[in-house]
Amino acid sequence: MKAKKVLGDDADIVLADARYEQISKIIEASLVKGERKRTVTDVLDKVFLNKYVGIPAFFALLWAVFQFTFEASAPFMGLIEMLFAWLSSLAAQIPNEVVASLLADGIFGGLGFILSFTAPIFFLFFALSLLEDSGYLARVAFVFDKLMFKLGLHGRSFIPMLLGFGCNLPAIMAARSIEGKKDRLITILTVPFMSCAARLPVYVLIAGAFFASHAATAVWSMYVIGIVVAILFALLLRKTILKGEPAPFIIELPTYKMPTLWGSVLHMWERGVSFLKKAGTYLLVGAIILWVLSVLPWGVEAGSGDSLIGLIGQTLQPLFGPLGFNWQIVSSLVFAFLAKELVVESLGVIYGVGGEASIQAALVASITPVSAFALMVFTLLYVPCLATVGVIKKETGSWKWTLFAVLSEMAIAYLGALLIVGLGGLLGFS
Amino acid sequence: MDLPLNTLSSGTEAKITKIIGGCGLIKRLTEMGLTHGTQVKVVSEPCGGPVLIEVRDTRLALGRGVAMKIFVEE
Amino acid sequence: MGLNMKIGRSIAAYSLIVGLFYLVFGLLELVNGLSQTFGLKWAITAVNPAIVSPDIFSGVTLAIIGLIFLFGVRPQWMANKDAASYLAVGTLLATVFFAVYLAIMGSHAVGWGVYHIAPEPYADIFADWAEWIWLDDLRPGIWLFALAVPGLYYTLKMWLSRKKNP
Repeated sequence: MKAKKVLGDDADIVLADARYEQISKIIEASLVKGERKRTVTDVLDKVFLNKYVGIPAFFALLWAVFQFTFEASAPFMGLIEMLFAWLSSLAAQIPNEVVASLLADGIFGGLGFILSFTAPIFFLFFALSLLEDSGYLARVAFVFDKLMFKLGLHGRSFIPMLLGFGCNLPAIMAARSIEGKKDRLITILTVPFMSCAARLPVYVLIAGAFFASHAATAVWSMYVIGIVVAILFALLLRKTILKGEPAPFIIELPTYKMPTLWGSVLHMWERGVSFLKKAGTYLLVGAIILWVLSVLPWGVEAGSGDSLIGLIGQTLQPLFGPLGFNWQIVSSLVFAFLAKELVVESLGVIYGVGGEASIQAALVASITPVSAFALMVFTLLYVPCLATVGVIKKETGSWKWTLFAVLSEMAIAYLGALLIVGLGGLLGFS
Repeated sequence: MDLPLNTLSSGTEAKITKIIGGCGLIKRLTEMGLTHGTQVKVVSEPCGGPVLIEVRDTRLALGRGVAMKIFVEE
Repeated sequence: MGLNMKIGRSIAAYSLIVGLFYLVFGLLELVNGLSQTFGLKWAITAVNPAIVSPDIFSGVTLAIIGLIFLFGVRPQWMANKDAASYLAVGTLLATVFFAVYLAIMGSHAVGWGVYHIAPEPYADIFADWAEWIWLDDLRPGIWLFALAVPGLYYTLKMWLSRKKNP
């Protein structure tokens, strides 16, 4: 306090100045500097931060990460699936019918499908740990700062958005490294529009049923629509409720290091377990609630029009009438609030058919191609999953922003789907 | 001659003479060791994006907006 | 770092060869991938898909690696200070892809193994790998790496010698 009086308001700065001055004096006196040689960091940064080659080099590494995450993890996904199928078959033998159904269908069935995604998520975390421990990840923020600045964000928001394509959960957690409160909020609120891996099975199912030879284009367009909506939403937020300049972008770029296998495994384990704890809790609770909704009142065919989930679908259906969705689809969208990939599974349960081909046939019989595309857009844009909502609450620390996120995503999804139906009508598709 | 940091070309060494900006920015820069009289070396080429500098053997990336507010003397 | 003119020129020649190989096979992979994905009638499969796997993005990446090698040719020829950078990053990326494709091959081998030992109802989960053989996963990214080995050796030797006498 006394220092503040003597030095004026800038006490911190004067002190820091003096401190650095002292440091450099000591260094000057004690260190004999040789001629500075080009270090490994100098050599690598010349290319990784190059204005022409930097971005392509990044995309090359990104593709390596994606290949590793999705291709190399596939058999391990199968192993987890096998474990849960086995547990489920054990549980089905329990004499008490209610307990058997809860465990076999509700918990092991629903959860097992989703937990098999643990494999790619751990692979993704491992690859990212390698990139981070080597010192490269900080460079990505540098390379993309110019582009992100135009969107009213800065380089640091790039990594969370990118991670969003894998899974929104770690992506929102990664937004922690962003300093400005507004910058962080904008990033957290826009990440859910990045189409995560869980939405892919839904697109593949619908596009395969309705768009035959253009299926790949229809699926690809989802990713593009997601990015466009995210950009527009970020700009809108920056212009309205989160006004202001992005916080100053200052980061330290560490020197490159050879990452160690053990270090990266530990890093992956820490992140993976914290992800599992969060996702696991929300998913378990959600799976139980949805199982209850689908089998009550006890005795009805699970997921049929007489079950609670069917009744909810029928009640909400008028709201979705303009989009051309029937109650079965509305029910499955309610199901999918738990996790997006459940759209596929729950459609199977509700239509009472098994296998992708028969679900597709049931869909083709009940909605138009335009509505099908609107359904894809709706799936892309509405709340990604219960676990994401939980993480948004945890990271923003506010129910107000969590509610805002959920409501704005719902509204954008509805408007987006309505726009598709409207455009389809104008262009003469039915 | 005081120039903003973002106008220097790669390889230039310079000394910080003035930082214009709010309290928050100055505090943040001070934390990273960028104070008056600090010797910096520009590493990146000027291309409208962020600026990469070397200070006391560490590398810092500064957004263009930040670099424009730091004035240096060669 | 002053590079000896003669060494610089031989490195430039080496980069040119490696870069062209990566670029050409990357583009072939890309063309194969495009003609397979979009079922283009006019596009003939450029090279036997067993040798150059059809894969759009892997093709693009191999081409990028090739271009990074090629970007280095000029500074290496002039033996200027950036000469080592492109060689180092090119070989680094080549090594990363070599490792990733090997990991994929290994993991598919696990899938194949489990298919053959898993009990009846579960083996179906692994049906994708029932017919797998290792040649399926012998991607250009793997065998092209043989060309990048001398570059990797040179880069590592340079770094290690630098660590010893800084």
